[in-house]
Amino acid sequence: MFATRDHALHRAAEGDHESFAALIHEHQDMVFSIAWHFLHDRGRAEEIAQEVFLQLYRKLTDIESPAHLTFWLRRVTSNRCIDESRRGRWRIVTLDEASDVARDADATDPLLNKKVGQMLQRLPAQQRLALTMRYQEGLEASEIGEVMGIPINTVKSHLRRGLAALREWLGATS
Amino acid sequence: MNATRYFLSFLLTIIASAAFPLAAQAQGTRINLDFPDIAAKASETVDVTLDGAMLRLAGKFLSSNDADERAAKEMINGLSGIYVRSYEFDHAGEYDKAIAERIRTQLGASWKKIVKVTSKTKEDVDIYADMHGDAITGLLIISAEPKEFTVVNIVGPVDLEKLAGLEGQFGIPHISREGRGKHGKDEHHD
Amino acid sequence: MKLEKQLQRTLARTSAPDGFADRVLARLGEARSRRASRWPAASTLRRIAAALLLTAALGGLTAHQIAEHRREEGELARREVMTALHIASAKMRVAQRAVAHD
Repeated sequence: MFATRDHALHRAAEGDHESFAALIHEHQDMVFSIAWHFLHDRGRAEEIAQEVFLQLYRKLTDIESPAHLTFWLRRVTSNRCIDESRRGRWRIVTLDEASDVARDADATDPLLNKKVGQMLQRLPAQQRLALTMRYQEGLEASEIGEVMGIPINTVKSHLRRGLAALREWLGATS
Repeated sequence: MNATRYFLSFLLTIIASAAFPLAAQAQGTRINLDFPDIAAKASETVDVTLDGAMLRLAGKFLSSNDADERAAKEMINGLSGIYVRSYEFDHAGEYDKAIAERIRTQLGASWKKIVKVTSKTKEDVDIYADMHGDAITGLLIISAEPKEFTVVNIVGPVDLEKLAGLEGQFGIPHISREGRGKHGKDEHHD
Repeated sequence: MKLEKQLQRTLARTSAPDGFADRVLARLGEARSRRASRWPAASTLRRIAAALLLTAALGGLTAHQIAEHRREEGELARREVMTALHIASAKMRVAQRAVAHD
């Protein structure tokens, strides 16, 4: 399996389009999801995800292994999300909506998913990204630190403060 | 917003009554916040040490196009240091609360306590200002929770209004719900 | 724990839009054809550029390293400022709420 992925990477680096297309298919959900959870805007998320893969094409010869590729994609997507966040502000979630979430606190409620997603948009960019890496990608704090280029203790602080803010806004449903 | 105005007028009233003339001093004092014994016991540590040179460097990298960073840039303008130590512990009572006293004993006569929030079970917060005439030239915040101890020392002229407003500025909504306890967020812990 | 489980649901990976890979590859093709039409003698230009870059790189390596180090320091300082002010402001808010409720 790993040898096949290594081979695909090698072939893509040599300019084989089918191999590069396979790499896109393999990683597109991850890249798009990071951008989508960060931006909550499908159009902008797709734009960023496309840019990431175009950048990947130019950098393929620098990628050393499938694991390195995953790390690189997470890192570049994160950086682009942060850059994007500096260019524009996110939709404001009103306090009334926050109160609704507390009332609707049902773990299986699809509406809750949407509202927690909206609450996440209220968090500072670094906290939002750290939580995305933790709960979407299942990364440990040390891995998040490597992806985001920040110390592990800062990651832990972002996670802790992000969760605390969400708990407060959601009326401490946990 | 009313709460913000009330809080700021409260602070300014206390500051005005507490302030007394002293020889003019441009900068506040840096407080020693390094206590290896507490750091050794902590499960998580945030350690921020930014002197004047680092703050000026940071200022060049803070974006004017981003509201959060623009607010931060304005906040640090003129400061000569920001020092933060935040320690989180696995168990309640794992650190010696006398640490706060060890920090307080370093404060000279120009330091005035401007706010004290006490809770038997939740978060104690003490805020001190280094006063020179009517000017605040330094700030010390000591926060003690059962499993977390945080101290912040800002050296230089501090605009309390701006600092208090940053939390909202940084994307955290100002929530004031009916029926909450005296200490707001302390109603719920992680 | 309930919040963390909810976050795992909310932040679960979602599928990229249909045709995503095709659109990336199409953009890649457009970019390549633009480069080809704009730079008919691209290989020659690349050789000249490479030679110039090599010369400049040898002379500017140290300056680049210093600038890069400075940039990294600046980025770190920027992030630390944001962290420090966030913590300071959060503590001010705790006091603010307590005073407001008195």
